[in-house]
Parts: sequence; C-alpha cells; structure tokens
Amino acid sequence: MISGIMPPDDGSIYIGSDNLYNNTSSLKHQMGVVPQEIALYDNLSALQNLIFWGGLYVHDAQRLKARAEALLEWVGLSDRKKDLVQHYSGGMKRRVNIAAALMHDPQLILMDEPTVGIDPQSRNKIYEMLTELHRQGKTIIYTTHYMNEAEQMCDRIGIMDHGKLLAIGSLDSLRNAHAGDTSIAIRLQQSILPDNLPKNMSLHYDTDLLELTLTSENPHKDLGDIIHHLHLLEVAIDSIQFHRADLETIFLNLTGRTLRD
Amino acid sequence: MWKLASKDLYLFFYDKKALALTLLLPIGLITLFAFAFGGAGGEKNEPSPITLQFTDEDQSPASKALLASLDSIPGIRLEEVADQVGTNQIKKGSRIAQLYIGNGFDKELGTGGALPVALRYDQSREMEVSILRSLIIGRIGKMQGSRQADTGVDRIIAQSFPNMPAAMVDTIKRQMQATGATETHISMSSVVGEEQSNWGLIQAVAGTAIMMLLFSVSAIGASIIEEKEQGVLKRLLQSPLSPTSILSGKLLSAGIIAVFQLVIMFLFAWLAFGLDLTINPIGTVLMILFTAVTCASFGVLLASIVSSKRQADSLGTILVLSMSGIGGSMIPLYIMPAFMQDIAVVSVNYWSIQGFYDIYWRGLGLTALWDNLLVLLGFSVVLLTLAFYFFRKNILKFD
Repeated sequence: MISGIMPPDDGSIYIGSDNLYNNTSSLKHQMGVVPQEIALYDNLSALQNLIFWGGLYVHDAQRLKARAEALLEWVGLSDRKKDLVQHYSGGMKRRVNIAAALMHDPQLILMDEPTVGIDPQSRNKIYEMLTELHRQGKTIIYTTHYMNEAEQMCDRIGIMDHGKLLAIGSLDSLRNAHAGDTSIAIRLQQSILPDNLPKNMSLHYDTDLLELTLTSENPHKDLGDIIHHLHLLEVAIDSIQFHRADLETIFLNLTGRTLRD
Repeated sequence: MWKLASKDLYLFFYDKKALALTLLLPIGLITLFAFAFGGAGGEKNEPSPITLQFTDEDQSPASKALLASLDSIPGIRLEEVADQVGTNQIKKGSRIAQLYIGNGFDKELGTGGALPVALRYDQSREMEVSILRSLIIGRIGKMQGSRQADTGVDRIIAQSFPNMPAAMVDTIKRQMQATGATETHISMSSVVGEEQSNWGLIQAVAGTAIMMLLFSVSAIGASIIEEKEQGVLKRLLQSPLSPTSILSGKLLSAGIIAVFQLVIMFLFAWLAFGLDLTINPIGTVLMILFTAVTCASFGVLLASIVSSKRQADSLGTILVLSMSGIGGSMIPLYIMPAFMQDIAVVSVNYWSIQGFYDIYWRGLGLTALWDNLLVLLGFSVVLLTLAFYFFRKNILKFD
C-alpha cells in the first residue's frame, strides 16, 4: 500500500505533506522499494539490471551508468558486475536487489525483509549499507521478523500483527510501555539460607550459582530493599546485573504466543 | 518411488484450471481435425457444393441443356456472371472456376470441330478444378456423341450403306449416344498464379509463419505471468510506470519480435525457395505489420486471462492450434467441409494467410488487401481492449 500499488481501504498515506494517492507518480520518484522477492532479471547482468531499473526513473544514460557502477562498488560487486544475476549467490542477489532500489537516489526507502535467507557475511554487509544510508539522512521503512535487526538499527519501531499496528515508538518507550517486569540478577559471595530471604518480593534463589533473581515492577525500590536486607545478614554481593526485556519479549508480550499463519 | 510419484500426481492435479486445459488440448485437436477432415457430423456433414460460374454467350438450346445438366449434379452450384466479372472473381479468390460457352457451341457440337468452350480456374484449387473438368467434359462428350449420332450417322449410312435396315441404324445411333464422343476438348486456362509463385510454397510459408508466430507471442505474453510469479511485475508497478505502460511495453516488444520473425521467415522463403518478394513490397510490409500487431495483441490477451504459467502454456497451445487449424495454417481451407470454411473467418490466421495469397498467388494490388488489413486491425482493437481490461482485473491483483 505504501509503495503505491494498492489503494488504502481507509485512511491516507502522506509522504511529507503530500497525499500518496493524489500524487502517486511524482511521489514514487522519491521512493525506492526493496521487495522481499529477488525482483531482478536473471538473464541480465547486475549492471544491466541496475541500468534497467534506474531507467524507469532517470533517463540520462551516462548518469545511469555512472550511478550503477558506483552502487555496485558500494555493495561490493563491481568485479562481478557483468556476470548474469542467475549465477550470483543469494546474498549477492540481495545486495543487487537493494542497489536497484537506490538507482534514483530516493529519499524514502521501503525495505521488505532484505536479509531473508542469506549468509551472515552478506547480512552484515547489508547492515553496513543500511547504516550508511541512515547516515546520509535517508528515511528507511524496514520490515523484518528478526527482532535483533529492528532493535539494533531502528530509531522507531512499529509492531504489527494481523494487519494492525499494536505499538510504535523508540525501543526505550516500547520497553517502558510493554516490557513488563524487570529482572535483576544478584550474585552473592557466600551462600544464604532461603528461609532468611524476604517473603514480600518475587525472588528466586539458585543455590548452585549463589544467584538471586529479582523480578519487579519497581526494580529500583526493590533492589534497595534487598541490598539493605543482605547487608543486615552480612552477606556480601559479588555483582548485580539488570536484564532489560528485549524486543522479542516485547513483541511476544504484545502479540501473544499463539502460532501465526 | 511411490512417494515421488504421488507428489508429482498431487502437483499435476492441484491446479484444476491447468489440468482442464491440459486435457482440453488433445480433445480440442481431435475435434478440430475430425471436423476438418470431414470425419465428424455424420450424414449432416456433406461436402460443400462447388460454385461454378458460367457465361453463356451462345444462349442456344445446346448450351442451356449443358448448363441444366451440370446444375442437376448435387455437388455443383451454378452462378451466372458476365465474362470479365467471373474472371475477376477467380483472381480475387472468391470463386474457383468459370465455364465460358462461346458463340457457335451449338453449331460445332455435331461437327466434331473445336468447341468454343473454356474452363478458367484458380490453379491453387486443383482438386476441385479436376472434378469440374471431368464433369464438364463428360457432359459435353455425351452431347457431342448424341449430336454426332443424330446427324453424322444418318449421312454416312445414307451414302455408304443405303440398304441398311432402320433397326440396325437405330442400334448404332443408340450405342454412339451412350458412348459419347471419342474425344472432347475444352480450353483450360488458369487465370491465377500462372506467373506467380508456387501455391504450395505460399501455403507453407504463410501458414507456418503465422502459426509459429502465434506460439512465439504466446510465450512473450506468458512472460508477464512469470514476472508476476517472480515479483518483478510488482516492482515494475512500484515504479512510476502505469499498468497501461507496462502492458504497452509488452505489446511493443511482442510486436517487434513478431515483425522480425515474419521478415526472417519470408526472407528464408525467398532465398531458399524463390518466393518472389518483389510482387507487392508495400502490400507485403503492411501485411507483415498488421499480422504482427494482431498476433502480439493475442499474446498479451492470453497473458491477461490466465493465472499461472502452466495455464498460459496450455491455453496458448490450445488457442494457437485451434486458430491455426480453423484458419488454414495446418490444412488448406478448400479441403475442409463448408461449415469449417465458414468459421475460418474468426481466425487471425485466415485473414493473414488470405492476404499473403492475394499478394503472392493472385498478384493483387494494395486495394485488394484493405479488407484483410481492416479485419486484422479490428482483431487487434478487440484483443487489446480485452487484454487491458483483464490485465487490470486479473494481473494487478496482489495478496
């Protein structure tokens, strides 16, 4: 819908101050779409593919060729630029797939799971490319099922389920709103009798590791109380570690654990 | 082994539309050829009557008797025309032959001299012309025999055998009447193609070229479905291109490839078999262009009405073979039953092949081609209108 091929059932999509459906053709020039599929022509080389896809936006042949060469250099494929795409690995195709969307230097880039099914090296290369695009000031709308990607790279994260936007905001704001109780691990220097632990807190004691795990809605207050309690028992603390909920936990908190189609 | 086979069978039966089309292909072809070869329809499937034009300048009782005799044959339909009109009709390909009966036919019938009778014909309709020729010669021969028996025998017997009994004279006459003349000659002249190319070559080149062209453009059209399945079409739609531009682009590429293919085929026919391309170069170019556009339109329509590559392949094959069978690409039209010849006009192949016949066989000028060109243009408009409608309705649907 955001890429302009389907009209919305309801509501509007604005890019800047322009309604996408009042000005689709012009706004498409500001938009680069990286589809989930490898939407390239297998029987063309990487260079030919880029020139073709760029040619749908830009008509200056020299500019197109120069831009294609530069992008292939950027994605690390300049030495294979004349090879047919059908001979590329999955990771190489993914990089060309991204480069094809950048040929007209769009300000807004829509990326639909661009790292699906590729090796870690190619994935890292794509992360580097995204970071560089972010540094250049591009707006990137990135769809992914890999929560760590969103956590590491995105300024704002939206969680969607069954076509509904359940939450949107920075990672911290999502944590504050949807992470649930914080978990704190307190490693002790000597053992303690479980009966001596306070009863009014959610505490778990691992006798082998000498580790107390505190789950709390109010971690700072509860942590102060437990430190005070341990001090009274003359039990020394080896380390304290806060476990903040990750995006996957937040996602599962919001969407539930039932399997999805 | 069974697991592999059962998986393949499951996949084969999964796409119901494609399955139906796969089965329809042989059924369709069997039906088509059964009708084309006259093997279907039972008693109703009678051969089409051969239209014989005639021009009777003698207007004698003998000429009228000859025509009445020919008219009584169930397989022949007579049609009176002015002399030149009849010849022109043959040249245009709308009639096969013309019987010309000149002045003096009645007079010469009993003399044994040369008869002022001519059969003008289209050489490409060899089979029908042979039938007409033998029927006409047979009828005239009988009349000659009868006339010679009436006049010649009386004269000879009176001179040489004046005492022969009347009963014996009658027997001799009856035998002569029954046998007919020993030799009957009529003038035979082909009014089409005598100085033109070989008829079979034109049938082979035009018929095959158009059929193969339809297969090519079907494949080009089916590439739209492939692009949809690969996600490329969606990416094209996400670009500033409109759906109309995308389909027009396909039409353009299909059209250019079609022109290229036709040009190569006709050049090959020229180089390898001596097809004379200089007969009507403008007409040839126009026919190639209009045929290419029509075939390309067919290709994009095909792609717009199917939902999978397998469906495109099956439906394409069915439609191309059906149109080629009906339209005369595979079997010359004249050997098909009358109703098959009537429905040939719904086929693109028919109008293209007839156009090329007009140029290379009948040697007609540009004006004679307008009908074919206009019909091909009409086909293109209809096919493209449907293609654009179905493209928006079917192909632009994404989950």
